Amino acid sequence: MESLFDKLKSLGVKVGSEFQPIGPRKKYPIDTVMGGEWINNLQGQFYLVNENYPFGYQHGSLSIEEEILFKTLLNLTSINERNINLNQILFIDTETTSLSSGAGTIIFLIGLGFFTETGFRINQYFLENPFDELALLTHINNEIAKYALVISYNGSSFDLPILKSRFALHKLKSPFTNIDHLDLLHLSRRVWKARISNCRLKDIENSILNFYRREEEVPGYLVPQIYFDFLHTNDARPLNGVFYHNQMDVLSLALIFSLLSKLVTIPYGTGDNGSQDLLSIARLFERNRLWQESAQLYRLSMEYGLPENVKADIMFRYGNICKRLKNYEEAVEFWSASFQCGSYDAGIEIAKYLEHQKRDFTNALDWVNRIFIKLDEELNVITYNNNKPRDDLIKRKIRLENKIKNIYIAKNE
Amino acid sequence: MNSIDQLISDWQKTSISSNLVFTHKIPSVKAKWVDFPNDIHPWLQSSLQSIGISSFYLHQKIAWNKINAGSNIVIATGTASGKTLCYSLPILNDLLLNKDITALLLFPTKALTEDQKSKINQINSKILTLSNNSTPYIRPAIYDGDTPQHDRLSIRNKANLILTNPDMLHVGILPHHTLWERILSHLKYIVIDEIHIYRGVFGSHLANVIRRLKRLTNFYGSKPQYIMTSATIANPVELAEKLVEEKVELIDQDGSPYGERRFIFYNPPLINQELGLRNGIVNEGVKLAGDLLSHQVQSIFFARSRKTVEITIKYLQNVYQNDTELMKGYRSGYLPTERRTIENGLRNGILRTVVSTNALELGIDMGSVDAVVLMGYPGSVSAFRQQSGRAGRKQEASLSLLLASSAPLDQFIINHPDFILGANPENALINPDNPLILLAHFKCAAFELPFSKGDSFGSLNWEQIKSYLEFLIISREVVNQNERFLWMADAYPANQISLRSASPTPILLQCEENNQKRTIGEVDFESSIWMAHPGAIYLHQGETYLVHQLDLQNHFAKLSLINSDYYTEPKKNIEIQKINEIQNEEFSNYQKSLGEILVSTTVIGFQKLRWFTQEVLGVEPLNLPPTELRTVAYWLVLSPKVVNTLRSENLWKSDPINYASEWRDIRRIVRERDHFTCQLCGSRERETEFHVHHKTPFRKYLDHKEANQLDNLITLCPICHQRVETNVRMRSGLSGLCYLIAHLAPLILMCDSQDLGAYSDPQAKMTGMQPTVVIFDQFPGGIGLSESLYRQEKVLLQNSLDHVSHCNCLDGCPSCVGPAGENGIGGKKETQAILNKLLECNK
Repeated sequence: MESLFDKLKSLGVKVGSEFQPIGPRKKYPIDTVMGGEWINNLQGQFYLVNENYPFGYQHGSLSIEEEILFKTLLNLTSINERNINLNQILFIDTETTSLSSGAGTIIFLIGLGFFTETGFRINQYFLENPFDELALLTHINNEIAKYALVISYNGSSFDLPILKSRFALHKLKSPFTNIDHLDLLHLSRRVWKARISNCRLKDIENSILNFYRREEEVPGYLVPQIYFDFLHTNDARPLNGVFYHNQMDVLSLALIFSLLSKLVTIPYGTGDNGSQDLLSIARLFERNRLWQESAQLYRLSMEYGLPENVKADIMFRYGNICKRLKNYEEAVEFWSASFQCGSYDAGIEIAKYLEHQKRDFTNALDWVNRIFIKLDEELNVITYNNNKPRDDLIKRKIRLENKIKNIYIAKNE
Repeated sequence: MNSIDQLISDWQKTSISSNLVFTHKIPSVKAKWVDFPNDIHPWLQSSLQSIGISSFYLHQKIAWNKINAGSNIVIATGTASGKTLCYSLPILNDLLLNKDITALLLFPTKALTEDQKSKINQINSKILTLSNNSTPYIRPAIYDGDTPQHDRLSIRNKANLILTNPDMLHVGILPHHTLWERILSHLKYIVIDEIHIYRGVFGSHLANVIRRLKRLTNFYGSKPQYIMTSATIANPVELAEKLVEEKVELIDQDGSPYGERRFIFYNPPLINQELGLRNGIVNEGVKLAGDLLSHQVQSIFFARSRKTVEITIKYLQNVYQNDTELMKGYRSGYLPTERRTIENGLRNGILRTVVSTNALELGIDMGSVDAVVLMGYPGSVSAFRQQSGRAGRKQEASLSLLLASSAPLDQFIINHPDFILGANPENALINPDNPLILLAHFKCAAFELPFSKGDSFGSLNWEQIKSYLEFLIISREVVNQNERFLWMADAYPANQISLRSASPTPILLQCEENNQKRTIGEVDFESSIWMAHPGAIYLHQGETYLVHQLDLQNHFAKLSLINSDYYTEPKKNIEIQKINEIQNEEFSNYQKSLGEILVSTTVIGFQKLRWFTQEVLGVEPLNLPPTELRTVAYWLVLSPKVVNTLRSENLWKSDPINYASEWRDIRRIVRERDHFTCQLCGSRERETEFHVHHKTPFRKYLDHKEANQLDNLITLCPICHQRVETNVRMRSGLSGLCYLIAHLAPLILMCDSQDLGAYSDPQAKMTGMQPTVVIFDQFPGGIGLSESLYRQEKVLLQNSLDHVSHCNCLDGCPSCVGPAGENGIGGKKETQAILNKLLECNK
């Protein structure tokens, strides 16, 4: 009688090597490799490793500070509950059995970081036996529920959905329903994308924090296989690198949060002034409709000197902000300068202002003609909105000419 | 007189009348109307009335009642009988009454999904105005591969009527089921439309997708009801119950109206009676198209292959140059926008003639066509009915014309029309427990939810489930502890499984244009060897491509656009190995067996054939690995007694050839003399040694020394040798028998022609060098056809004997035992003789 194995093999299924169960061959169990403790509860057990980083600890070019003024940063996000303390914030990073999501992806290591009276503490919870997942999740559930805000890096598309999925599969209520979540990836991109092309955590770590990981670091794509090998061999030594990787992820996350908070808070932190950072932050404020702060930052960066390729655009934006703050004179001044640098849209704004606010049709028409000349020159025409057609301008011209004519006729009747 | 009657009357006045072998009229049928049900929601009733529906057909009411009573049902009324409303109305009604429930609707094609959504929207729009609610009660949404990412979240959160397809369910929804918790936990209805599509491999996969879905509804605490629709097949309930593994009730009392239906069976005239060659169906089809056009009859021509569609359209456009705007081709390879244009053209009458593959078979609404011409028997009674059903969807008279090809099955049907018209259509067979398919879905199921002792998977018991899980442990994809099994691998299994093939990895067809690589399509691994071999001409979306390279290791093929005046046909070599015998029975004249075999198919080369004329422009050998199929087969072996009898009656010519012992030396001498070059096609020997062939057959000599004279010997490459042998070799009754029963078996077994493979060998290795004919399931692991044949063999043999005895050809023709070669002798008589001997035992 043919076994299923043989039958499948003859039907063309490729089969791997020898059968190796999760046996009791404990060669290098986790507690001989990582210094930590076993946590037991009703549902089973898991392993906890913790590390404390005292205030003042140096991580790259930054250190862990006792006071982080993050209120302004939170104002630039969609977080609802902003009136919280530093010790109500939880920093999360996970290691999973797959880089794709879905019901079959398990979190086997989760790092939770938070501030204490003495510094920054990271608790790493390790699923030594995947069948004990409920034990781990039950414990984590209670831990997470203690916090008001959860911070992650790319967590909104990766870590949190998987975590929620794990809770759902074990029929546990998700702890995230009453907790805010802040994904620093998006903020980081807004601030640093101008000078760092791909804002992965590692890139920020290297370029902004000036931190380089030690040799034991393991790259993300190798992590799942290390866990699978551990399950089959019970040799926990390679896991060292995974714990390190996860630990650094959480630590850097906290420091990026600290740095971003500084950068956006008056007096605008110790950012790399004179570079695009100031501009990016100005833009950030502008997006959140915080005009005063945004204007202040634009002015500051103009003092430091604007790079040529963004001059026209920045002055145009600044002009727009002045308009919002009703500083029309200043607005026109900057729109004018922007137009000189090639911004067609800035010119339009001036024409609009003159036509509708000041009702100075003659000067408005004057500007329209100037814009026509510029268009014809087609030199360096930087537009904010690339779809401004020529026809629009023609309509404007005709309208102005009519208005002027009408006034003349009215005057002479 | 309507245009159909006029057309037929005109035909009967011309020479065409002799080709009209059979005509039949089915009178019109009136509708059976009943009142709206008592419990219909007033808004739904209003809405129906506003779109012109004021009552139900009988079967729609029956469906309504059964669904409300909680039964699982399958609705198997005819084409265009209003099956959609049978399921959509009860569900819409329920959504108006119960805020939280959800429904999942599965359609086999994107086009159908969109069609159904529009129909639902139509009904819903009136309800929306009546309800005046901020949150609509009925919130349908299509969720498939084309749904934009930013819409998916809100669909999962808000929609209560999800329209999707099996592939999306398999790869996009089930593996992410935690995101679908709301919908799955409130799932009340699952609709599977057109279940007759889900036969063979596809159906077996779908049954397993349903098993996985059931695991999840069980997990989330819901127990949905199953509503299915089917075209006419012989076993709708059996198929339905096998797909969902629940008790299902049948509704087949059709209350919808039908106009008068005319059937004509048309046999093209013989152009060579001796050789049994008839005029081709493309030629005949084009002639008929002209008549239909001139009589203002809007028609669809159904062709059996994409190639034929392309050839026919080309031909039509050549012949009717003034009317090219009125004629179009249609098949699935076209872009959706192109297909929509054609469907609309049919609907509003602008297009008069459409040539299509079976893509139009699926119930897309395109108004009435007056006539349907089937270019060749479509392979199953089911398909015949579906394609015919395209004519006359309203109350006008319609015509369905079957244009027979010279294939034995077509000719058999022409002579026995009752087989089709009266017949039960086919049984749709599936085998959800096929090991390959089960294995694939166990991976997906384990990924979705862990397994524990005592769990079920469809109708499998824990022991069976466990053996598959243990296999997955060996392949390092699952880990276990105390009889709990967890998925533990980096992969996303659903991505590697195609629901349409039993084997996973497709070959991507890549075309390089302007330094840019573009994937134009894909074919599955096995098909790639004969469809996309190096040198093949591949047709895609009306364009012809030449295949430059086929890389089976890395799963891609390189093609480039080409303007060629020829197309290619592969030449296959088959070898069969016996694995085991399940059953056998011995008679005095023969032995029949049922068992498992391994079929190795090697594509040894291909022919280049000129378009339209079929002229052979060249032949090329190929060096490709064989593909293997392990499956179930029926075979018969002639007993030595029968062989002796036939030989003594001078009919047996399949004796093995006793070559002299010096043969090896002689072969080498001949090949050297011929410079290792094939004397027919001129190709040179590369890795494989060429064959040496006797110009005048060995058998015709008494003395082998004379037969082996050098001037009777010639070097030939394997392909040419095979062709020549086939023509010259004494016609063996065995191969005639094989040809005949292979062609007729699908009719008897009520399956599709492509579901079976056939093979014969007067000295078959698998049966110890005995004369053998094998018929096998073209489906890994088998699907029940060979088993069926083993039981019904007498019917098949009897019908085969009838058919060959009544064939008008002299000595064998494509319509009975196969094309007679140039020197073929006694094929027909031999086959008859063998059949007689076989049937003697069966009396």
